[in-house]
Amino acid sequence: MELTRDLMLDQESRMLVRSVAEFREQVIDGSAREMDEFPSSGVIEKAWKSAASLGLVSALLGEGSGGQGMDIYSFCLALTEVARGCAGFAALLLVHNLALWALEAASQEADEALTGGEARVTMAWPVKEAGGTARAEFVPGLTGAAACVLPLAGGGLCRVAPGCEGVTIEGIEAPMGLRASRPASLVVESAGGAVVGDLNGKRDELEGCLLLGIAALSLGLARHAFEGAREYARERYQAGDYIINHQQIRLMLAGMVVGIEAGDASLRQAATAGGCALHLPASRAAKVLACDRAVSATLDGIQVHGGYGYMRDYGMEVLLRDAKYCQSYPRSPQEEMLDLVKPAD
Amino acid sequence: MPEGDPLLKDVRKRVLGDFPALQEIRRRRPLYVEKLVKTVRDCAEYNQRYAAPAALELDWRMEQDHDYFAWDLVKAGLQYRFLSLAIPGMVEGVGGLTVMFALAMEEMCSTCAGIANIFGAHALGISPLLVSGALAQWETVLREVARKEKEGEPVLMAAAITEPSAGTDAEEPHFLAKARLSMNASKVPGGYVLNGRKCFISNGSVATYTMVACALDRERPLETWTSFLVHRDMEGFSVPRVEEKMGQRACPAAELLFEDCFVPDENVLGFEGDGMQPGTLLILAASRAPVAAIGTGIARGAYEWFLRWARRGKGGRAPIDEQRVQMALADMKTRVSLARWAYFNAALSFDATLGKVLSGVPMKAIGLLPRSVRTSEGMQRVYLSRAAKRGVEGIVAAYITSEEVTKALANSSLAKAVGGDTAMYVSSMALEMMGADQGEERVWVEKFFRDAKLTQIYEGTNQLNRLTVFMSDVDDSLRVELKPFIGRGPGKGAK
Repeated sequence: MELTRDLMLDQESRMLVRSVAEFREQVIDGSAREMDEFPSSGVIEKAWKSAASLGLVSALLGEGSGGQGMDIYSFCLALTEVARGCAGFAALLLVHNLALWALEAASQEADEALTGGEARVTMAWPVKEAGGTARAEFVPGLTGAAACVLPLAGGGLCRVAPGCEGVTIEGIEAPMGLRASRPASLVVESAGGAVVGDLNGKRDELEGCLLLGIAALSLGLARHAFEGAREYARERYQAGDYIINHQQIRLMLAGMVVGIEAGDASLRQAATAGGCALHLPASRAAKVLACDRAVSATLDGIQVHGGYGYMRDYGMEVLLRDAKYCQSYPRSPQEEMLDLVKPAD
Repeated sequence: MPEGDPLLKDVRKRVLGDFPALQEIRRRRPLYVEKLVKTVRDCAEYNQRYAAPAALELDWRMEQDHDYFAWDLVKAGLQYRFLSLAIPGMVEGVGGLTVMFALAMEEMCSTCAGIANIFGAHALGISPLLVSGALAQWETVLREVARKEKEGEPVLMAAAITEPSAGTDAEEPHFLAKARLSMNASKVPGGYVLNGRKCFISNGSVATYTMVACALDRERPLETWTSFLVHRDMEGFSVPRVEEKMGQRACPAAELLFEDCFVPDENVLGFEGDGMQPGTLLILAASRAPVAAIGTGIARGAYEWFLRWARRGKGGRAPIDEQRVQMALADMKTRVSLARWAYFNAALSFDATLGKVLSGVPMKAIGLLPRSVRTSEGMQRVYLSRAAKRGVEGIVAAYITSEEVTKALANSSLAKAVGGDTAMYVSSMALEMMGADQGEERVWVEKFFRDAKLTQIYEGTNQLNRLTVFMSDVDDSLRVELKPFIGRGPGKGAK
């Protein structure tokens, strides 16, 4: 059974997905568990270099700035494919690309080390500002990053480097999910002094891209859960039959398909609507929907596997842990939804 | 316990508030209710003194080293007699039944389900001895557990039912009949030889005694499913692997390997062929309510830590001031209460069956015999005789009916599905509402979330639990078959 999104891909997108799938199979799949359990072992850096050779670390950056100039939907297709192997690594690609994009939007020259894969940059979102201090609770990619950009509420873009005065990074010990992204918390004192430019009205677009990227990660997790559960259900014999022949199991698998189809459609619609102001609400909706369906799919993926699904060896439980983090990053789904319907003045 | 113990007062008030039915029961049986309150109080103290300070670090440590086992935390529980809660008073146990154990599980799991499940899996290991009326093992094994507990030496038990190719199949008679099993026992002179593997066995790597249920004939698993008591030092028994789990890490889940493992005749619990009908079904009727309480406790713990988060404002307005958070808290509280009442009702209905047997005249009469007589070799031979085993079955069948215990199985299965779903719902909702906020509250809620998922899987998946409700309470295709003293065959009466 082929999912609708895959049937609708044009030739170019199909080639993109195929090449990223090859990268995932060759570089990510065999290392995913190590990325989750021992992200500081060097396994991330090794994969990062391979991703750079494929152009994934500068995908969103304009061609004039040395990037690939990829549109957001294509980038999301790539992220989904990477997330099927490791959502944490896909999150690293997402925040790195968004940081480069933000720097470009703020008229900053691209740094070759960052676009070439020698170093990583990340983006803090949302940034809470109080009394000149900027704070971000959960910043994927912050551990080991060469720099971090902070889009401020007024449109300014702040850039800081770890180790600089007034910059405090607190590692998050053993977060439940997205471990491969090596997240940390960030506090920047006198953030105003580190502003390097202005996003020039592209802050909403940046937020929309972040939300769509997380939706893409979630859909990758949901796809992995569905494929793994379907394969297992075809092999596992219980109650006198292969469990895929039990209605309850088929309904669980079908629920995953419904969720992936709805998530794909919603993501595609939001990503291809065009116009930053227009697509932010659609991006919020797509993000909330995709993440909710991914949590549901990964829960059912474990359930179909029974006891095996709960054990690390079978690679299902990590999908749930990652999906749960996608659901609540950068904000809770309720907060995203409340921004969809504004209160009366 | 000091006079005017404030913790006891707090717990009494809370328990009577959380379980309105206990107020009525208290009027008729005040001592019984006070014993329940005291047990919960002990669990609360254990949580405060031992489990809470250790839980997060232990969880982290066992992620790195899943072979580690926190014997210190087990030993800390001995003073509260957690290993004897389910052991009958006549063999030096506390004599608590399902209600007491379920209340204990909720309390302990509101702090750490992994640590609590060490005691839960231990009680599960005891339950086959109880439901089969294996008096010989009561006097030897259960008395040893209770006695050594008083001496400060923990003796743990476990129950091994799941096989690599049979999880759901090993917990339901219709499915067992069609199961593809990999383990079996063969009759040899003086005993049986066990070969094969059991998997995901809680406490399997640390238990001294493990109840192992398996088929004598893999072509006729239902008719030949039999329960054996295996000691960890028996030749041919080994633990090749301890699993790396997403949660509940403090309680190890192990694979057990049997390679020509000889088990003597006297270690058969009940009769050959009684392993599923009524053996496993009685165990599940007893155990699913406490497992439902595990889910309820996890949900409660997640709720309590979420409430802390909601009250903690990081400058300015606290989350609890928002209507969405208030509604979520109310929803969580509601679901925890409903899950609690479901497991309490199920535990009450099971205790109304087994309790009648234990408080019946024949069992009381046995209990009145001097200990020297009951523990004598001669009495052991009597207990192990076919006539005595059939006598015990007859006593059970005389005091309770198949309908009563089948209803208890349906109630416990219903409660278990509700408890597991509630644990997932509440912990998931809490994480969702917290967004990307970091901090101590989040770390705890994440642990509850990871712990929660297992409650939808073990003790029969929630899908199987619902099927059991359907089969036993809707279309009457599943009954727990008790064996009357008169009118049964020579020990192969499974249907």
